Amino acid sequence: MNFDYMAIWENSDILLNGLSMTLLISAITIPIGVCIGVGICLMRISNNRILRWTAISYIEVIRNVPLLILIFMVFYALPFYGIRLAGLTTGIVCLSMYGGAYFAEIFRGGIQSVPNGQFEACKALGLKYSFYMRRVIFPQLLQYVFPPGTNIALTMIKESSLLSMITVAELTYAAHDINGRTFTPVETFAAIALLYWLISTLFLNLAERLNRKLGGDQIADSITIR
Amino acid sequence: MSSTPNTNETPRTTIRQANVIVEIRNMNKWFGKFQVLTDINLTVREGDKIVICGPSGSGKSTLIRCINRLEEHQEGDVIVDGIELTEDIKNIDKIRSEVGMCFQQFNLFPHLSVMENCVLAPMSVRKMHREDAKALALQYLEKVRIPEQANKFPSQLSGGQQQRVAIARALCMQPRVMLFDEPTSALDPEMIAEVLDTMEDLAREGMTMLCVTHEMGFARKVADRVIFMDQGQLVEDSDPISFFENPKHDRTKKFLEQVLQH
Amino acid sequence: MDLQFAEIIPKLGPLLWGALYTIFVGLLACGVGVAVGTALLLMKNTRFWILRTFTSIYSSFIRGTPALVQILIFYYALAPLVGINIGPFTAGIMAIGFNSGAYVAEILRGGLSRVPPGQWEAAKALGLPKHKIWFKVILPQVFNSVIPLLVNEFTMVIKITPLLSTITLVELTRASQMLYNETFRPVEVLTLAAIMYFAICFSISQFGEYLQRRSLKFRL
Repeated sequence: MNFDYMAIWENSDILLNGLSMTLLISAITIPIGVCIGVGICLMRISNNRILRWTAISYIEVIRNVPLLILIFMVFYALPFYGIRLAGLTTGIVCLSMYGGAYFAEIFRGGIQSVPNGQFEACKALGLKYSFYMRRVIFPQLLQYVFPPGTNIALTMIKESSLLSMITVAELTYAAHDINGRTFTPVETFAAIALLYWLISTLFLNLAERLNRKLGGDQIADSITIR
Repeated sequence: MSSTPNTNETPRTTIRQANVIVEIRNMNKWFGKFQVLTDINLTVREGDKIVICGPSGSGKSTLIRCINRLEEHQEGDVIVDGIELTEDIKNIDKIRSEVGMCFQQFNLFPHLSVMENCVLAPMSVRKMHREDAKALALQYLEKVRIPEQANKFPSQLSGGQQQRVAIARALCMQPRVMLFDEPTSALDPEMIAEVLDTMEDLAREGMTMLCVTHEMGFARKVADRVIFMDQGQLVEDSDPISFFENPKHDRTKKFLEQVLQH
Repeated sequence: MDLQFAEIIPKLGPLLWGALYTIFVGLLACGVGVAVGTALLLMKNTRFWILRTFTSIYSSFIRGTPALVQILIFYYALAPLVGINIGPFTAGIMAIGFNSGAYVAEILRGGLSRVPPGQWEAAKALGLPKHKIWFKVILPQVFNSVIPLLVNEFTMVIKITPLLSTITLVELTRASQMLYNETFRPVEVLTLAAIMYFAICFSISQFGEYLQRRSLKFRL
């Protein structure tokens, strides 16, 4: 079986561009997703019924509707309402919203695992909500949420491949591109598979090292949501 | 020090040329660097009813678990029914079908009914037909006095009932020797008697038994040999009357003083 | 723009077929996933180092690459490589099945660690051979304890099926694409598709939660 390495080598610039785009998308969407997650989480645990149910609906919709449908809705359906977003913007919006819902659930789980006594002590000391959430609860939270949070982040990196379907020039799109020119599906798809594998392994290693510094449990053992 | 008596002085038994079922010679065992069994020499003959007692950590459970290879010994010989225990899986499986064991935590299979628990091994290992296995199981369930529970699940039974099912399950393999690892230690006090009675019936019918237990009343009544273990060694091995009235070693005396206070 | 749901309703047929097809494909892929996951679990627990390493590499690959890429590899790359031509239906189910298998293996691994060691001891003490211990004593308990998680995994599988639209399988997403290309009404069509997916996944996860509540009642 001959592997046409040359096809890959000659088009390596397309691959690398795709790779950088994938990394760029991830680098933008993950932080935004975390922020959305924090916001939704606070809404989810608030005493205001409207905020709470909005958050619950948001989370349930994202969790039960496939990401691809979401992407298609933003890309193909929104223009009818006058909002025409480019592929990349659509992707960033959708991925961030997707991650946001899952991050919100993780943060909520994290807050619930902080012992109740911490909240009571803060209230008893007369500390303000915004103050004690930031300075007392959050640091304890971090240890609980880091492992599952890393898994969500990794999922978001992988889900960026869906953006190839709305012509965003990330890594999977690059493979389609090269394949269209050179008709080498085995080589191109194997190449991007290896690149994705590389990204995820490096990411997990980095995350594991950070996790150890925080003193948390093994990342591999936490529940994986894809 | 250990002794392997060739004669029994109690009126209950007579000198017999009974078959040797378990023979342990110069056995030593370590957990890592820590030696848990030292220089064990033990002969168990057919029909022997041996109670092993001693403080926790003395190695009593480890000793009987070496007999059916739930634990491995590093030095010495363990020979069960003429077959030597080594790494050979065929030997181990053969031995395990001749040695029955009851655990402190019963370890019944929760997803199977009482009947299913009992017939699983005879059907899988002895290749019995389901009807024969069920008849056999009913026979032993009657012996342990709970035939009516045959279709219930372990979670629906009391602790005492579960342990009796565990005994019946082990008996269904018709073993040559039964090992009991603290069978009543996890039971509420009111259920201990029913299990001990069952074990007593078994003894009376001639089953060879090795029993690790703290129930000294049982030892006095049923055993024909009582062994005291301490720190991994067999300290004393004699008939119940001599053991309780006239222990030979100081360590035995100390232990008895502590235990018989209750 | 005004929504013209009335126009779409008569054309609902293909969408409903798509939904049924999605569930059908999902069930088959889940079946493959459970089989693969069980196989991986057994392989992870043998004494053969090479099988254990294989499962690690397999899991790492599946969990480290996007499902879309795995589907594309199965459909486009495996055929030239192995020589057999597999249709999109088989390729899709195999791809999702093998993907799900890695995650099922993780779920089963968790369940396995919760089986009390006493179960192993009692089974060994009875003289049961290894394969009987696995299939008659241990695995039934593992599966019993992880049913809600497996149901959740089924939801995940359903959410991956839209990717099969890229390899021409006419499941719900492809059916909706075809419909809005024909009617130029992506808003209505996609909304309906989203509602259908939501209905499917939400009911499944509610069922899973019901099972979880039941399993807590009959604590084994």
